Amino acid sequence: MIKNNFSSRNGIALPLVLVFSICVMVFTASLVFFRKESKQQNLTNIHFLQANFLAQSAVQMMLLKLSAFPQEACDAGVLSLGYCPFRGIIAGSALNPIAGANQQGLIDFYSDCNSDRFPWKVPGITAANWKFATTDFKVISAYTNPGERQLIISSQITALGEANLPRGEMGVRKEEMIKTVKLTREN
Amino acid sequence: MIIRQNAGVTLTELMIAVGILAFVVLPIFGLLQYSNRGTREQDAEGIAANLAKEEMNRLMYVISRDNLLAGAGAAQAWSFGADYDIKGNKFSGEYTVYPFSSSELAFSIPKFIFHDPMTCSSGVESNPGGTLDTPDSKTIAWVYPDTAGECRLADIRLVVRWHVATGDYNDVNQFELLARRAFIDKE
Repeated sequence: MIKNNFSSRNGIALPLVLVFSICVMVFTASLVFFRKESKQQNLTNIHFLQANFLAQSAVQMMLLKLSAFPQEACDAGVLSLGYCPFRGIIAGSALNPIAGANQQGLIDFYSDCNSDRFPWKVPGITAANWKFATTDFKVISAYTNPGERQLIISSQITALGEANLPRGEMGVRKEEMIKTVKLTREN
Repeated sequence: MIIRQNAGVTLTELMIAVGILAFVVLPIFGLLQYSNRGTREQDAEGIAANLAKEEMNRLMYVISRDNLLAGAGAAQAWSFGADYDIKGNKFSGEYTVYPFSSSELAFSIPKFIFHDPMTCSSGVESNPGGTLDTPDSKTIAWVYPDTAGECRLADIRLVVRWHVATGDYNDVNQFELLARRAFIDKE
């Protein structure tokens, strides 16, 4: 009986230490792994922030342009639906889009709201790493308010920001932003 | 007899076990310290990203034009102040504003070829393809001649730096954000 007891404990320290060591190594490896995950998350967050602010910059340029040229934006919107831009007011409460309408006016309007046409004033930056552009401008609905003799257009601005930051060397991060605005001829 | 045999084996075993423990655990202590410091640095980086977002949002949408443009071209301290302390980490930031003049903001706008709107039955454009000419170019100064000297668009560069309690500011622990803000008003 005594002999059996001693025999069963024979060599127990070594397996115990090995199991303990493996557990500690697994724990450490998981710590290192989660640390890397967390670092990656921070870098992704910073890249997202920058790309998002670049997209916002494109929207800002469009808003400035819409504010300065409301008549042209509205006329281009009317033409994009297939209606005559020279009509002060178009009868009917809903302006349903007509097939084959000319979208070029809207394209002309948004196509220069980008960082290539108006480069950054910030010195010492690589312009290719900080890009933004308005990529689309379209009318989503329109109606006339006969009481106020006013044409009202809901339109969408689509903007794209592209950031390529040296931090983390994660490559180009793109963020798209869509903003809906209301257009009238007297914005 | 049996006890003596077992005692000899256990001593050898223990020595090997201690050796394995020392071999495994000692480097892991170093790794844990390294991991711990890395975790603190990442925590600080995450906080820096959040502070940068808050500050850039303030510069983009909250601060008035006059306040933003005061000291344009020179670095200004961010709103959190120097060495802003969170969890023992220190954060500093500065922003620089680069204004555009209204005369250099020449936008391309759609140019419509006039025709009698009465030829467009029920407001539907009778000649969609022949309504647009080559786009015009107009400056913001042309739109607002009375306030042509006012800035209506500006680039903003925000730089955020940080260090953990045991460190100091350096070139690694910093990043910058760029954005463009429009001042949309009609004064």
